[in-house]
Amino acid sequence: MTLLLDLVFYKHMQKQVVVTGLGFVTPVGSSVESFLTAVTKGSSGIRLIKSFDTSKLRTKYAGIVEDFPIKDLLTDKELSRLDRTAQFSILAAKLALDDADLLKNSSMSGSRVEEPDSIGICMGTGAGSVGALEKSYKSFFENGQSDVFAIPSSMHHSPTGNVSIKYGLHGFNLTISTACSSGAAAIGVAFNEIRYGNIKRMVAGGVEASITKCHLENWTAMRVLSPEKEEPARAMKPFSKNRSGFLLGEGAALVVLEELESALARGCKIYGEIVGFGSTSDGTHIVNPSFEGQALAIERALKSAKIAPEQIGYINAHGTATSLNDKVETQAIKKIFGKCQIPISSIKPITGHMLAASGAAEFATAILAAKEGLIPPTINYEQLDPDCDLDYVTEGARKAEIEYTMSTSFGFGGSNAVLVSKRWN
Amino acid sequence: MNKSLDSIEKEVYRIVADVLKIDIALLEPETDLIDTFQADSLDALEIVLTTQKVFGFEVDDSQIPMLRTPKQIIECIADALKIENQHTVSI
Repeated sequence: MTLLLDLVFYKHMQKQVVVTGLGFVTPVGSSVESFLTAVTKGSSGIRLIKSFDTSKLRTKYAGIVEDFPIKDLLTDKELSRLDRTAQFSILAAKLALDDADLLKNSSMSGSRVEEPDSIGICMGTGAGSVGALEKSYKSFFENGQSDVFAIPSSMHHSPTGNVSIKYGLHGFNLTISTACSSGAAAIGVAFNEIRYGNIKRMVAGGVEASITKCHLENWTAMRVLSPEKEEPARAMKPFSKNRSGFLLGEGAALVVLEELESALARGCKIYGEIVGFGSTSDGTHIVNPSFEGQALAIERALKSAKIAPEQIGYINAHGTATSLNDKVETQAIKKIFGKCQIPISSIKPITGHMLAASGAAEFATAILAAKEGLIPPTINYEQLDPDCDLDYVTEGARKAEIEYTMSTSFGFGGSNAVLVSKRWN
Repeated sequence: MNKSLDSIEKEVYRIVADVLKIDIALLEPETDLIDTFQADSLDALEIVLTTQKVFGFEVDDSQIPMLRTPKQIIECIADALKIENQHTVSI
């Protein structure tokens, strides 16, 4: 009886959680407008890698972030000690917190949040600050030089820690690393923290900046990267039979999640509501996905959102354009939704696979799709694959009235994270 | 190589300015690097590690917190290298 009362009480204690801020640093821009325009028009951010010599490499292209305005936010000293991951994160957090109107004295250098104890951060990263790590290893193994700043700048937790320091986020501080689902998992954990009344607001999302020569070559060795050279913007072809793999991307995507009462009291804009999070572990293979594990994560996300499968109006897919992902993801969706006509799209051909940042950017994309009534397309689709026979929105952006959306993210190690959001009326 | 106290002073100023990413002209012998430039424990360690490499000596860990000004760093090096009264020394 006590347990039953506790459960009823606990359910009533659940808070509604809304998205009140978005911050993007991506290959297709660092504003909500530029990102939304690119994903709906299908404008690719794939470019030739220029930060190192690619002349002898099989893959030469990636989704690259160019000219992001970080120098106004950091001193020369800070810049010299922060990996690209932390720099992306600091800028994305500034944009998200500004968008949510949570920064006081919003100058480029000295902004802090109000009510610091009421706001925390949860970020995902797959590869961590691999650029800083490689630099320190090179220096050590070639010259025997150790570096005081190597550990603070190269640890996975560096981006999260540095954002919390920069803006004074004292409520919560956690980094999640579950490969490609890290960003989505971080949003899910942040959602639950607010939903169950532990904190009022969270900055959450993912970051990745792993386009280094060594990292690129290691991905190449796994034969998952597209070798396309003629038309790099058309290299990634999710769900299309003539797919050739993915291209890496880099960037950061952060959202501000907030208790509904707090958002209403502040009178701030609301992009949408996050209503469900499902997470599972395949427990089968380190890189091969399992459709059972993915399907269970989808099922749990729907249960968490307290909705039926047919209420979902759009799925932003993981859609990496590897034959295994596309086939298994399609299988998982079909297991839960049947041979449905739910529109499904992947924006990865536009941004590149930004690993942890993709999961967060794609959740934001699903929120924006419902808000705008416009589903972004899966670009570059060319050939029907009998194993991928769903509605992948291949004709271009599609107008639609959507109430609930889903965003799926699946990572090496069998970590699945699925988020459900609802249009805010 | 012979090093005078003057050349040590110049080298220390260069290292401090480089680590803290500041204009060398802002440095005075008695400038408190923590109060003036918000140097933290990592900055102090980097300055000490670099000076150790450049001058070839080792600073005792217990001395590091005491090195707050360029003058204190220079005196520490001079002491370690046994330079007295601005004599030239071979290092």
